[in-house]
Amino acid sequence: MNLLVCISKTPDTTSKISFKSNDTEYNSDGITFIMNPYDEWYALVRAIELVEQSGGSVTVINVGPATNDIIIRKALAIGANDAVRVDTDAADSYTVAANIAAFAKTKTFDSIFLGKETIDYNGSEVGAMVAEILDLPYVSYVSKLDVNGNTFQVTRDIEGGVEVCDVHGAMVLSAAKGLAEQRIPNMKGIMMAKSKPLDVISPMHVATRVETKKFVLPAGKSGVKLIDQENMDELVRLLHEEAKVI
Amino acid sequence: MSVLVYIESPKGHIKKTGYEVASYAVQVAKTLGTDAIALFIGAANDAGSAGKYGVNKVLHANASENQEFDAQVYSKMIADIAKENGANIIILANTANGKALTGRLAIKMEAGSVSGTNSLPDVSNGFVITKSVYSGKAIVQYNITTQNKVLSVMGKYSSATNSSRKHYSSIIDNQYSSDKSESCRTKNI
Repeated sequence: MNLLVCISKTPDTTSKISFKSNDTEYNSDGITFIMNPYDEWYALVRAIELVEQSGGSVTVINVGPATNDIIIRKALAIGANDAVRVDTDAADSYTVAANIAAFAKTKTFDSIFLGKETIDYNGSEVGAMVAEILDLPYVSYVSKLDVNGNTFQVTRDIEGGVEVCDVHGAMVLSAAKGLAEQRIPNMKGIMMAKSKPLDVISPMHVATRVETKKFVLPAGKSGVKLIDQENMDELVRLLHEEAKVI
Repeated sequence: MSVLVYIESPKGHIKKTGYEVASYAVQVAKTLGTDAIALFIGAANDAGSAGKYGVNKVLHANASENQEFDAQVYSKMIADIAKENGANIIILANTANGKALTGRLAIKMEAGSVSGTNSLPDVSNGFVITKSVYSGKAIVQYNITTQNKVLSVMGKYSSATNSSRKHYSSIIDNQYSSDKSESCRTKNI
């Protein structure tokens, strides 16, 4: 089984968020970057587990500049067999998806895995785009995955429950919590990762469809509103109109 | 040009988020001076109730083969129906299924797309909408530059607003069906 796993680089979850260049770019000064947790903990690890069970290989792909090599090497240290980096900035979801799909078309993969979303842009669009370009089924928010011959038995999270479905043949899968357990690379893996192939390929140039105009920080949280216990109408109005929970 | 909103109706039930997204679509259509069209696929009890929220037309594709969600099948239907009805803006709920459709529709319609938007578009200089990023620690303003646009909308943003319109009685039913077999077959929910 040959699997392609798409990985992204994101700021560490505890990073301070600030912007530069008139609030049009993320200020990465002093920021620690990590592999997107949904890509690493769930998509990558489950792909490696499947290959360990049935043979084959795991290729990781990242769309981004050379500074992303650090997270690609980590993926190789965890257990991926080889890696590809498409040497371009990830300008928007479409740019990323188009480049991943273009690479996937040049090889034969049994399926493509990625995390359910990145923790920076929270887009959750790339998987569906890749699936559409490649005309493959897309199963999102997968929290359990088993393989039986040529059939993937998939459990996906939906609002209010889970959906169980069978997918026959290749698919694109977005991984959610529960699909696998995080692996910490050991010293042998880290040493082996240095000699595993990491190919850098030229991008397919596409016109961006969505421009980032500006980032803004949300307004600070306001204080707690205390409502007189005799004024239930006001409480109901605030819960309905401001909190929008009823 | 019009706005097409796909309203989810799992097991035939229209949830609150369905009406919220319908209300959002109506507001977008008003902003652009055009009509909002609601679309249901599969079973939908009381699809005409979308009219109470201001949509101008309700389409209900209720053929027997459309009953189970399949993003490949549904996205093709939505894109085809959008084309037939002159809709260049597609609006979806920011649910698991909505997000699965957003990316597919963006490719099919050569559209710019944003998932999880939490604002009405500012059309004074482009088509600018906002969404939360960095796990809610920041807000980004995006300008969608393509003619076709696909948005999934955060449910909490848009409250379901009843309009003065009454229950919509003119439903175009059973006009559309899928022409592709399902590749992801649901066994249980």
